[in-house]
Parts: sequence; C-alpha cells; structure tokens
Amino acid sequence: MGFYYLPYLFLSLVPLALIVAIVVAVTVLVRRRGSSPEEDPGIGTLKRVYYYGLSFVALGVAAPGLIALLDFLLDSLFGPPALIGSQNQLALGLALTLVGTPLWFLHWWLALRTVQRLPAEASALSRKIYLYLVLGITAAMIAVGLVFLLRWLLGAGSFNGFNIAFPLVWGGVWAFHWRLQYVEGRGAGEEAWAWVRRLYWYFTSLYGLVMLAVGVGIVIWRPLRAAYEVLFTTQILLPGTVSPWDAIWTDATRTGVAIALVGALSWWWHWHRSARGDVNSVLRQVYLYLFAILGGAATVVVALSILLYLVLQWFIGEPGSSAAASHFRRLPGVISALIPGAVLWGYHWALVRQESRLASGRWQAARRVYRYLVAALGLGTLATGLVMVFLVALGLLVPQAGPQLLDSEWWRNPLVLAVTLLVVGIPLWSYYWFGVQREVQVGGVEERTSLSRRVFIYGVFGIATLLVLANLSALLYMFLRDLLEGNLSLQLLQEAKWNIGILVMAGAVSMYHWLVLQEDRRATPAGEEPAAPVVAVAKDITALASEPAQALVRQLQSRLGVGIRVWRRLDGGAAPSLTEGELEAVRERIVATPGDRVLLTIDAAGVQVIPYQEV
Amino acid sequence: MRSASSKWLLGAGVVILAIIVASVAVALLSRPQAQTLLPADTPSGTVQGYLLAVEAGETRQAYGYLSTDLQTKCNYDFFRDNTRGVMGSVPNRNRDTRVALESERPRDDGIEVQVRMTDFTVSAPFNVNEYSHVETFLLKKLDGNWRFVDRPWPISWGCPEPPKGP
Repeated sequence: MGFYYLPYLFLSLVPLALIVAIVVAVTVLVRRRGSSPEEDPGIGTLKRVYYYGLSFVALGVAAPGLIALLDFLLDSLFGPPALIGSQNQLALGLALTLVGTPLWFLHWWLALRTVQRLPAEASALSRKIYLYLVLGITAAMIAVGLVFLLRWLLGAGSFNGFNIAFPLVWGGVWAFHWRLQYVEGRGAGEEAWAWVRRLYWYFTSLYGLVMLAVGVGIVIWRPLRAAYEVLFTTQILLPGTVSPWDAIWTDATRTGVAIALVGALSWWWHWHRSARGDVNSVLRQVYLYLFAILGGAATVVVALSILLYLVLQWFIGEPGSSAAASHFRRLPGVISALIPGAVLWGYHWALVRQESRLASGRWQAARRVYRYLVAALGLGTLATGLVMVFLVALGLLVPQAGPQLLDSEWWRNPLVLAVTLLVVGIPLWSYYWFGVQREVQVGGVEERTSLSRRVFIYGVFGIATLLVLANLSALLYMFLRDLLEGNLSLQLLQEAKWNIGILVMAGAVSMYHWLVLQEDRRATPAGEEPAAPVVAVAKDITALASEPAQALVRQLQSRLGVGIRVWRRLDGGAAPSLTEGELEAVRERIVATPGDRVLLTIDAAGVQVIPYQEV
Repeated sequence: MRSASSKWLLGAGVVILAIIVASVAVALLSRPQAQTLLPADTPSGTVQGYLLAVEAGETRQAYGYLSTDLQTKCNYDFFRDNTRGVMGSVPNRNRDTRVALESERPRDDGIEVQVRMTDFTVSAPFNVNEYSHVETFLLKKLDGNWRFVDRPWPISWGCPEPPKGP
C-alpha cells in the first residue's frame, strides 16, 4: 500500500458523496414542504448531515479494516500454512481501523451528545436515514457473509477466516444500529419518518424472500435432476461408485440450503417480526402486489409456458434432440421454479385477503388490484403470442428472396412458441379481464372510476401507444429509405416483420383500451367524476361500531383516505347521521389527536375520538 | 457513558482494541514462520519456489521450473509476458494475495499439487472482499529435479506453437 492508494480511496468516495447529496436534498425538500416535525430549535440540518455523513463514511472505513484484521488473525491461528503470504493485509487492516474507528466514535459521540441535550434530535430525518441506510447495507452484507459461512459449515470448501470475520463484523454493526432504532422507535414523533423504516423493512424482506425462493428452488432441483438422470438417462457412473447421498448432497445443494436458510432468516425477521401488523402502509401494498404476488404469478406463468412449449415442441415442433430424455432434461428445473413460484403467489394472495378483511371496504380494493395485475400479466403473454403468430404468418406468406438453403420447416418452433403463449395468455387474461368487466357492470361508477382500473387501462393504453409510435417510425423510415433508393419491394415486409407484428398487436390493444376508456367515460355521469384524491391520514384507526353504523364507517374511510379496522359492537346501538360539516369535524379531530393510533366509538350520540398507545 | 448504547459502544471499542493488539501480536510472533519454506526437492517445495519467483518478478528463474519439453512448447517471451503483473511483481494497490497448500497426490507417473490462492481486496468505504481459487500443478521428476510437465498457473491458456521447420 502506498500513495497510489489514495486517489482510489477518494474516487471510491464519489458514490458516497452522491448519497450524502441526496440525503441533504431530501431533508431540505421535506423541510421546505413544511411537513417536518423538527419544530424545536435543534442543531440544524447542515450540522446533522455533517455528523451522520462523517459517521457513515467512518463506519464504511473502520468495518472493512476490522474485517481485514480479524481475517488475518483467524487465518494465522487456524488456517493452513501459507506457501506465500505477506503482511499487506495486516497493514491495510490496521490503517483503516486506526483511522476509521476513532473518526466514527468521535462523530457518533457528538451526535449522541446532541440527542441527550435535545431529545427531539432522536427523531431527526438525517439520523433516521443514517440508521436505516447503515442497517440496509449491513443486512445485505450479513446475508452474503452468512451464505459463505453456512456453505463452509455444511462442508463446502476449506477453512477461511474471512467466512467468519465478514458476517461477524457486519453483524455487530447491524446489531448496534438495530438496537438503537428499536429503542428510539418507541419514542414520540417517530411516526413522521416511518417511511424510512418501512423502506428498509420491505426492501430487506424482498431480497430475503427472493433468496428463500431461489434457495428452495436449488434444493428441489438437485434431487429432482439426480432422479431424472437415474430414471431416464444411461448412467455412466454406476451407483456404488458414488452413493445416492453424495449425488444429492453436492456443493450446489449446500449452496441452495445456505441461501434458503439465510433468506428465510432475513425474511422472517423483517417481514414476520418487524413489519407485522403494518397493514395500512403503501410500501407494504407495493411489496405485496407488485413484487410478491406478481413475481410469484410471473414465475408460474413462465414455468408453465416452458413446460407446455417442451411438450408441444416434442409433438408438433422440431425438438433439439430425438431422444425424449435429452429433450425434456429441463423438466426438473421447470418444476423447481414452479413450486416456489406457486407458493409465493398463493401465500401472498391469502395474506392480502386476510389483511384486507381486517379493514372494512379494503377487501374489494385488494381483489380489484389483484385481478388487474394478473390480467396485465395475461395480456403481456397473449400480446407476445400474437406477435409471434404474425411473424410466422408473414414469413410463410412472403418468403425470403432466393432459394431456401437451410431448414424449410423453420416455422415449426416459432409457431409452437406462439401457440404456447396464446394457450397460457388467453385463459389468464380473459378470466381476469372479463371478470372485472362483469364487476364493472354490477358495481357501477365506483368500479369504473377505481384507481386500479384507471391505472391498468391508462398504463396499457400508454405502453401500447408508445409501441405503435416507435414501430411506426421505424417502418416509415425503412419504407422511405427503400422508396428513395429505388429498392422498394415485397422484401420490405420480411425485413420489417418484427415492427409490423408489434405495430399490429399494439395498435389493436391500444384501440381496444381506448374504446374501454370511452365506455367508462360515457357510463360515468358528469357529476360523479372521481373527486381529487383525499390526502390520507397517517394513523392506525380502529372503529367500535354497530352493524347500522357501517355506512358511516365507509363514509369516514373515504374522507380519511385510509382503511379503518372495525370491531363490531354486539350490544346493538343506533348509528348517528352526520352532515358533511360534522364528518369534516371528525376528520379534523382525528388529525389533531396526539400519537398514531386512534379508537373511534360510534353510537347514537355521535363519534368519539380516543387516541391511545400500546404499552 | 451510562446508557445501554454507551456501554455497548465501550464494549465494541474494547473488542476492536483487542483484535488490533492480537493481530499485531500474532504477526510479530509468527513473523519468522509466516512463510514456511518447504524443501526444494519436493513437489510442493518446487511449486513454492516457482510461485515465489513469479511473485518476485524473477521470470527467468521461474521459467527454469518448466520441463525442457514444456519450454520447447512455450517460449520464454510468451511466458515472461504472461507472468508479468500477477501476484506481487507489480504493486497491487489495495490487494493482498495469500497462497496455501491444498493437497499433493500421485497422478499417473507424476505428482499433482493443488494450492489455494486467496486475493483480499479493500476499497473503502464498505467494500471488502476475498476471492479464492484452486490451481493445479502437474510435476514429474526429470534428471533428479521436479519440473512442471503441464502449463503452470498463470499460463492457463495455450502457448503459441513453436515455428515449424521447413
């Protein structure tokens, strides 16, 4: 290590400087919007950014240094004798630790002192971003480190101090910051920046879930492939040379088990333990619908499509091999993806149903979002199939110029792919799309103007229109080029077949959705256009109400822009009738209550608003 | 320093100090044996001598570990160009390479030696990594010395064919 190291160190600080700049920008923007709870004098944003920014950088220098030292120590004490080794690692570890650790202690102590002096500082946005950024980075590091540690513990590879040092140091850093946020998370004013915490929870839950699914897939795939080879292929390595256990318990299986265990731990900790009960969070809905449900459904659709393609290719296409065992060798892999995908889809959909039933009126919305998501997936599959059909038809109707030198039956496999995509896409799209269309007939204006329907229709219409524009431009360019160069012929259709296929498909899709939009517009009376969205009240609200008061609960829900958990009164009771003004007054009382949890008791006398806190 | 987090910090500081002291102590105590020099007339000792020569940039000496037959197939210029810059022969910024003996076993009429090479890299902040790979060396005893009979690391790709005679 020498002076040449310094420029690289400074260059590596550039991404960090960007992060700090983003943090400053977010903090300044939030404060300008006037939604900051930091109304107390405090120490000021710049000072905070300095303390936490320096703490962050110092931590990023000290922890790798400590890992280098611990790795060196463990390898020296327990590792195999070195044929070649140097003290570079020790020098590097000492340099980073001796510079980074005091720097972090100093700035953290300064931050700690301000929190002790001004308790509101504990709720500062900069502090929260520091805490959850460190937690996010270190949680990812721990996940990687634990996979390597577990692989070694399960018998893959030889001893390496790094496998212990890496998760141990990052684990220590994570544990300290986790404990801190846990203690501070119970303080007043914490809910203002709950989105930072949620961002960490759901991001970490997501990759934990992906790791779990991938790990389980590998664990299923290895024995399935071994069984497939034993049953359908000629075994060159006879049983007895390698035991059945050795054939299954390979490095790949060990890696799969390690990934699954680490993923399960991360997912359980963040999803089941930390984010439990956070049912009103928007980020939770994004996680559930956009990633967990759609991700699971897409995995199932892709796996089923591959399965169907293999079967159809064997019977009517041109298989890559004349031996069935060789042609279907991807079967274990497909099944290994299908099972975790189906479990993800089923589990999260069941969870959505369970959570949305807790809040009155949310079940309908959840069901709607789910239907439009799966319909979009089906439409994507169906549209790709249509493009493929068009390509095959055009290729057959307008063959390429000159004699066919190779493979006159080229169209078989593309046709099989087109049929596969249509067979999977048509039922999926038609079942969910016509299902929502029937709901629209029954549900009326509320269904037609629902947010999920508008997002779906405008989204599909927008994407299809963009595709039309892009492909129309490309087609026009090719046409004009050939025309001006005097080369215009039917071969243009061959050259531009992809553009024509996508243009026709996207044109049909955009036209259909434009017509649907017009129908929705005509069916919505002028006075019943959806009102501007209500700014949601960021509180966890529970209503104690009798059956007749359910209509009032729904009115309050739409006014508050948030779901209300309902506890049914068993002693009956009448429902009050509130005017618009009285409803607005209830909303204002709820907004003005301290804390983040509110209990509404509804009876003939009116609505009582009681703030509470769990102890 | 009375709160739980302060106590935790104090504990972390003590642990970090202990790791620093222990690392320095181990480095000082094991300094003479940090690199065990194996007997040169053994396959492992030959591999070690070869790797030390590559690390030191002593290309001519390292080339001498190749059998005459292999030297015919792989000329010196090609060998020199492809061993330059690996391991310590060129300063490697923030990287450290450690080589440990993995195994030594007979293979046909020769000996196969496997070593694990571990590269440790740090690029602060937050980026610290270690990558290891196993390399295999095939040696035979020729004229009383152990010599490589197959391309040794880092010449893992083909040597240029020697010019053919008329």
